[in-house]
Amino acid sequence: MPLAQILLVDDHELFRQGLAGLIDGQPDLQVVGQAGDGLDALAQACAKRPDLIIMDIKMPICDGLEATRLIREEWPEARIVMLTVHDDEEKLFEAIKAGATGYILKNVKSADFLSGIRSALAGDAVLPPKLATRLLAEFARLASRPRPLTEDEENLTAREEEVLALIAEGATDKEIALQLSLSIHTVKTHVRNILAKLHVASRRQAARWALSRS
Amino acid sequence: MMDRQPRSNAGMLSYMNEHTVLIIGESIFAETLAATLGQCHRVIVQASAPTLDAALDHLAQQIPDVVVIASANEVGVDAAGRLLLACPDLAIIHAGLDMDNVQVITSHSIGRRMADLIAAIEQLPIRSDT
Repeated sequence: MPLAQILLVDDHELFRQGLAGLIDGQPDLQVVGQAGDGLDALAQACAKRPDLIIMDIKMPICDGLEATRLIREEWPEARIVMLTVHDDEEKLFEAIKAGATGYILKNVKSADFLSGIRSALAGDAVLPPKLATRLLAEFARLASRPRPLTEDEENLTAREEEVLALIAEGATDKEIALQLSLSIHTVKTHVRNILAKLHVASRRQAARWALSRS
Repeated sequence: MMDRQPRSNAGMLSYMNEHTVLIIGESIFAETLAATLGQCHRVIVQASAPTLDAALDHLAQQIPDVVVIASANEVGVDAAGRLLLACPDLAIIHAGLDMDNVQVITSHSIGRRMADLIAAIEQLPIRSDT
């Protein structure tokens, strides 16, 4: 079975050398390159196309986040696991946005580190449990936030806004017609346009949308 | 804590040229540093202690030539103070993953006379940046 090829990127030479020794001592893994900054990492990644890149975040010249972005631009299939001392979610989110497929903290034990990189090689996402929890919480927060208005939604006319506000209050077409001094036919046209612009199927959904916006 | 077996008499000659090291830390950094130093012919890794307290327990039994603090934030440089209290002449090397350099901390004891103190001060380098 061919050995999985790994590119190690870290400016801390003592640490990188130790990691290389650990990885090379494994029967299924092999270090095919080492880099001490992001630009060297980019060059080696494109030239060697390793199975996995293990990337530090804080580095001189070009940091690991930027290097990850650059590598993924050149080679979108690259698998990159960040290895860092940072356990704050901000760095984690930046790493995920940059295209990292995993995140391992440097305070792990070697057994957990090896297990993490084998998981990453198998195509799994690798995250420390504490950070995974924070990531899910952030995802839930974003999901519960009202989505931004689409161009159509922003294009509701003043009259349609008035009709929508009355729909949200539970008014019928007849009540809306009376209140706004419009014909029933005109109200129905406004309602049809509102449903189309909001991409919803019913008055109830339109009412829910209006309430969530407010 | 992992301890190495004492050397046999046959190895005593080479033993005189080798430094014994105690490594403190419990991360992959400490583990890999111990493994790398263990492969060096002039260094004997006497033990690896995951925590400062475990290191102090070890020092009560056996004193190495050097203590290396290999820290991924779990052991700080403040550990050096407690180590020096336990072993005043201990040489300590602090290597942290968040540090740009490795710090070598050495100390030695002197007599408590004023002349000893002044002599010790005079032996130290004068800083050029003050």
